Amino acid sequence: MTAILYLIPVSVFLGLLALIGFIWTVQTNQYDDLEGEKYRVIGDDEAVFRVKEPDNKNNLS
Amino acid sequence: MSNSEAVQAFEQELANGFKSLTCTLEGVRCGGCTVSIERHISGIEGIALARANATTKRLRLIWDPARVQAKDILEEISKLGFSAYPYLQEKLSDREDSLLVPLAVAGFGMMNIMAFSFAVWAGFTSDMGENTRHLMHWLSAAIAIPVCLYAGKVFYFPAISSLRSGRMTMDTPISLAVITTLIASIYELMAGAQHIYFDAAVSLIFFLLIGRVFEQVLKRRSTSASDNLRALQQYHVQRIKSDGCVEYIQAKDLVAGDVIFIPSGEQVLADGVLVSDITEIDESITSGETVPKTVKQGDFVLAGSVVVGQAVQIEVTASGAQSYLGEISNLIETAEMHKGKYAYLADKFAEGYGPLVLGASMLGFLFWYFILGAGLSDSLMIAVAVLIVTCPCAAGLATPAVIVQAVNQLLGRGIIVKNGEALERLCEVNQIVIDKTGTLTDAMLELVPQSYDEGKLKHASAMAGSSSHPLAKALCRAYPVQALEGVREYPGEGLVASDGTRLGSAEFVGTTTRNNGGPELWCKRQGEEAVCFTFRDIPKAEVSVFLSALQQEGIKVSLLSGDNRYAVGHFADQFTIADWSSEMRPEQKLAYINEKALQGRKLLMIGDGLNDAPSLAAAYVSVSPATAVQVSQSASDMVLTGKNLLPVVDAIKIARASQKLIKQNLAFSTIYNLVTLPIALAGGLTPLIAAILMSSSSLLVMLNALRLRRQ
Repeated sequence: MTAILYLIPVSVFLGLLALIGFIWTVQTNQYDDLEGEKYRVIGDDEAVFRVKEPDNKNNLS
Repeated sequence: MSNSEAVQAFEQELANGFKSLTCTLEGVRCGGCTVSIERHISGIEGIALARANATTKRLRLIWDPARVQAKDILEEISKLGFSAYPYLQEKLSDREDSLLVPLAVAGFGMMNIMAFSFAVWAGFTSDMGENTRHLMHWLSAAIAIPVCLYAGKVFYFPAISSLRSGRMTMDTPISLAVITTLIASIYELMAGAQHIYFDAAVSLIFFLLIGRVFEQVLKRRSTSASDNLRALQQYHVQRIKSDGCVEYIQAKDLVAGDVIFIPSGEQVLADGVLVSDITEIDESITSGETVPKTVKQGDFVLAGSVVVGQAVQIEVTASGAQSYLGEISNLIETAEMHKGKYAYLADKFAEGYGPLVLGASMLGFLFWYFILGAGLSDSLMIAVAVLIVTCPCAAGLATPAVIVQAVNQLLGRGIIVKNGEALERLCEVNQIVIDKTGTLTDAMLELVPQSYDEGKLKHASAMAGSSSHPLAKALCRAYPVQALEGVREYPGEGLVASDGTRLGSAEFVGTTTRNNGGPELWCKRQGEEAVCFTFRDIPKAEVSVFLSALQQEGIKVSLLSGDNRYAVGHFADQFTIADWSSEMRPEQKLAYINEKALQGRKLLMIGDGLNDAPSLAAAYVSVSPATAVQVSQSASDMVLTGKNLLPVVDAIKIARASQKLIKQNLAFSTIYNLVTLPIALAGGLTPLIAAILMSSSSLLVMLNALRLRRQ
């Protein structure tokens, strides 16, 4: 019975981790170009990104 | 792609000395093309970043100006077989935050609270102690309250602002349902009661947010598609400064008194007065006239005209209400004001739904508490159950889903729908009003196939080879020969060959004019009779198919053109269009639209010229091709990305299919509400069962919406 007292916070914490991870993917604009990602994944060459875009938000959409 | 100075105007300097640029890509058919452009360009020496977006068809570039230039990059792109057009994003800050985050938060909340709820329900049939149950309830509350406050903002803020203006939208009952459920549950929690409804509140938010996410995706796709179209058109002019140097500025930055240089073949981007000697201009986009007009120094030139003769300098005149553009803007504004508000089905549903449900809930509570003497808990439970079970899912979830699919399909076929409601109006259309020049025709002229004397035709064509006048070019297209040397051109009048043959207007050649008003060229060899070559508009290839498809759908066609009587009549005869009018000015087109609207006809207006813009704004639904003037594109509900007209017929068919699905969903939703509301009022539902019913009906409606098959 007392197992519940620490199992519940653990599971909620894990859920929160997933939520934070998802929010991170949205903030880093990973859903902006789902079409293109399909092709980048199966491409032969390596991805070439030398410079991080200084202004991350609102660039490509 | 035009010269590098024009591109420079779009470039941005970055802090570390690098330059950046965003382009729209043309010619990409699939994501594979975009990504291969990205890969290829990334490999160029000096490129720091080349990131493509296959969804919006844009390319973001950052490069070191010391090692590579913008024009080299663009050239590499064209070597691959595509074109890139620089693009200036004006409104960066307007983009609203993605609704995916509130959706995720609501989803997280819903799942975790459900875990506790399941435990409690299992506990009802076994031996869960009271303290354990209280613990579960408190945990649910701890998750539910922040989630409802955060994710529910999407509904609360619009509900509050619309209440301020005295209106009720779908957001109002939704917000009330969520907040009432939350408060009732907190109250029950404090009182240590058996039932709380946090799971219902959060589930409600989650399912409705799915619908909102669809709407947001839809809005973004159409906005970005329209922005791309705008980028494909050049809006930079060459201004001649007082010291004689040329600079590139944006058309909107022009002021009266500026002198601008317009190369041959380009569009005049502001009203002005001709400073140079003489040239010919094509006014088809403003007036519908296909025959070019000769203008001399001091003559007025309208914005939108194309310079077909030699390059010229133009002094910009004062813009504002006096200019032609200003006049058109005024007409558009007036038209939009009088257009009236169209009550969309979903809004009509909401107007009935909101007050009805809230009223029922309140009455239920009052009835049970005061008249039947039930406890406060039980009465609250019934009121909450009523609010939850009567779900606005048909409007809130399934209608956007249908519209998103429809708009996506249409986007793939070459027509951008700016707002989903336009589709609803589109399926009611019973008459099409269509412009001629530029819409049904390619705005080029062709030689009317008659039995001309071949020798004369050959000679005339050879003479015409050296001129860039549209009629001369049309003659050469009809009979291509080597151009003659030594032909003198008299701008605005004609050509004279070295053997004295004259090719040009009737006066130039010296005969009496044949009075039919159509475009014509006269050719007179010395000692011979003058010969007349007549020309006509080239209709687009798909016009007959387009017109018969419309007939099949039961839609009447009317042709309204600004071009002269002869050209329009001839065209109408060619395609057996019975209802046609010619030489129409913008006000006349607008008057026609308004008159027909008063008669109750539902009009679809298709036009491209500046003279069509007020009518496009006033018509029930409007479409303009991508080649249209910016003003007309902004005034229309839909824009054709290509030159082909057939997507309009597709759009009508898809609009009708979508409307059928939307009506089915609304019907189902009405029946569902009519059945469940009485049951809830009678106390037959707990909030949880209400939530389950609500979710199932949402799912059913969604699945039905997905039935919009490829037409």
